[in-house]
Amino acid sequence: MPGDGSPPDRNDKHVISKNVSDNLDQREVTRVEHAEVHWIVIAAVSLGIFLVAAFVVTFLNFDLVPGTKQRATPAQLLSTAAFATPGVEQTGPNQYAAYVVAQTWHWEPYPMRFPVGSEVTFYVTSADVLHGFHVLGSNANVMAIPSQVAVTITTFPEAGEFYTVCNEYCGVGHQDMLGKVIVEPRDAFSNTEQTEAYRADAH
Amino acid sequence: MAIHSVEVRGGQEAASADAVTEASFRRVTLAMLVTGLLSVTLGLVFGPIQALNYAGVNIDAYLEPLLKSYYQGLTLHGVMNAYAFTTFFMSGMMLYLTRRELKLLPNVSLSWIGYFVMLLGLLLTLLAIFSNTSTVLYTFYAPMMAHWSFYLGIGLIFTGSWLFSWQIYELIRRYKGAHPHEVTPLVSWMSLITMSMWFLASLGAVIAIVFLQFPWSVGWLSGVDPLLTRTLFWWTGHPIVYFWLLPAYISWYALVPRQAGGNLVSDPMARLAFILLLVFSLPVGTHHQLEDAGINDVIRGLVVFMTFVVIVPSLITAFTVGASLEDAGRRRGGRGWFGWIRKLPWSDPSISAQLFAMLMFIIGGASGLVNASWLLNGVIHNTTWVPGHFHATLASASALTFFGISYWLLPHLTGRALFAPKAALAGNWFWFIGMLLFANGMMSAGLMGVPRRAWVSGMLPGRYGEVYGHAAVPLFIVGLGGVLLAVAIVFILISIYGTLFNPHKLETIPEVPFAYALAGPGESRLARLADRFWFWFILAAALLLAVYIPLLWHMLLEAVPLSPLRRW
Repeated sequence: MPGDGSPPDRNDKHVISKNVSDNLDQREVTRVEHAEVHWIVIAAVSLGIFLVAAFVVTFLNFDLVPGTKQRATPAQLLSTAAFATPGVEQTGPNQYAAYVVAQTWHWEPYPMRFPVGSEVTFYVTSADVLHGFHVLGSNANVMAIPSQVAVTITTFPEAGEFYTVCNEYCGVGHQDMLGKVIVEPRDAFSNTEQTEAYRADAH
Repeated sequence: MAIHSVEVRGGQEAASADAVTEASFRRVTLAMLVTGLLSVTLGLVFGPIQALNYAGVNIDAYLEPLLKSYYQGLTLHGVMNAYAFTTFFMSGMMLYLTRRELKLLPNVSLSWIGYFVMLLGLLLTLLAIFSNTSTVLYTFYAPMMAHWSFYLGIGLIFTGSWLFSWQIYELIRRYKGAHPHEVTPLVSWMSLITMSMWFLASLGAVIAIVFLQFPWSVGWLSGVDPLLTRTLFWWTGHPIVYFWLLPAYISWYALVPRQAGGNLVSDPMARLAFILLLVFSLPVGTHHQLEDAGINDVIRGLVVFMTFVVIVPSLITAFTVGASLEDAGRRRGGRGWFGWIRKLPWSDPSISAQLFAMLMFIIGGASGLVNASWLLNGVIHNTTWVPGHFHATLASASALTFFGISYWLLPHLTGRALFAPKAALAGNWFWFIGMLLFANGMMSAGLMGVPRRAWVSGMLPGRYGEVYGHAAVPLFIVGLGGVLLAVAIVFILISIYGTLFNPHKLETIPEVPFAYALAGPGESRLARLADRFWFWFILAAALLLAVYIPLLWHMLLEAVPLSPLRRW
């Protein structure tokens, strides 16, 4: 074959590099190699710590990472009771469930109201393309994928109004797809419809 | 061509035949590099516009009728910079370096075929994007559907690059045949690892395109599952970032030390880093889906762990490249703990670009740890933090390095002197400072919840200030960074395109600056172990399948095909 030749001559290159004695190079190399081994050991040990941490989260879960609820066609999902009329329901003394539907370019329900300090489980799905559900100022941040229901749990320790933004590209109106979470003081919240529904269930 | 005669061996006839092939090979290499650089030029036009978008300046409103929306420009920015620039530039560069190091000529016809397949892909993609039929961003998530030419174009760019993977493999196979007891020379071996990693990585997107999204876009399939296509996309979408990074590593390990006047301290360590990257960068794409429903938690935990494994080779790189630069700095008379840094040839545009690239990669790598952490990811997922992170990696560590390589490789290939080296140098500084500001602003705004890929400057009146007012300071810094980057782009491109037409010819062509390794591969067991290419390739493929088969199997069984939608 044309161009087939001798091996690359490493010594050639050595001559071109700076003039230093081989002895000096050898001492330097040994020193550097020792330091490098220490460096790799440190990296490996921290990796071991990461491994343990990752699996503690995996198996104990702590409800910190978003989970999966069910999967069906968007039409089927949207005809289930929870998503047909997306809303907020009380599920315990201080717990709420919110069924959220993303659709270009709005969120339902709008707005969502919770009393301050409540623990909210969001069930999020999409009626059309991919969306991203992020309640600003909170860790509720999951993908809204059509045919999937994402689950994420968060608490709202402070009263206030928080925007829900769409953070996955969903078309030209993406930037204006805003929802709202209103966290109200406990006394102001007590007589809303959702709580009535919870009481009715409980009795 | 007299300048290459040193490397041409054999009789007179063979020599002249070689010279013709050599000239053709240089042309195809130059075509690959220049097509990549033209692509990035087009993509870069939209970068500062998008940065200003986040500062509330809506330039996209004035771009009609050329572009209909911010998102069309963003699609172009992503596809040109992340797919076209990188794949063209790096494939051409790595095959060329392999050819020089091994002193073997590849099959030039095959290189040209590869180039034209990729060029056809590029033109189809451009057609699709400019016609506003494919404003789906570079992630092309279903059920939004692009025009078929978009999928076909990207598929051709990816598969065309496989020919370059094959050529590098073939050159090394020939070399090993002639030198059975030698360890493959470093740059060629690294190129082979990079290109075979890319081959396995690109399979995910290619499967998604060939079997799902392309047939869907021409009407042969009525629906595709959004989670399945998204998961296949991320099979490619994560390791592709290592495909962007590894050629930069090749330069940092094996060329920069020599350019800076020093040596690579350890050849076997460089190989260890690349082996770890080959094996562990492939199966971890699902960490982009930590906030998706429908993915098994045990697989997620495994993927998070393996993502952290990939940090180790980057730490090795930081050490070895750092030590090699220290070697250079001390040989240049640097004293003390930090004196050697000042002595490095900062005034050489090729070196300064790559030193800045390395500095930015420290920020990029560290912010990547946040993305990869299962819990922290929930804070920054799909916020501007993420583009802040990857502009410190892809847009700095990789892009600046490729510009730095261009500053010597274009003169080397054309015989023309680098045009306006001071402009190149100024461009590097502007890029570094601009990107520091941009990345800092984007990451800070991301922590405040500002979503990525959002036309915030085009929101309904009053909303931008109301919703994102709390992030006004970092968003202003993003815009400021964008302005500095616009200046950087002008300087760098003047130097690059000026070189191609520079009337000032070089008297002696600079050699490829392959570095000498203080600890060579010769006696090293590690280097010999790493040289068992097929063993590592099969191991990497097996691990990839071990993660993706269980993951995809469920998605396939429970697939929910959805009809195409258009929302732009």
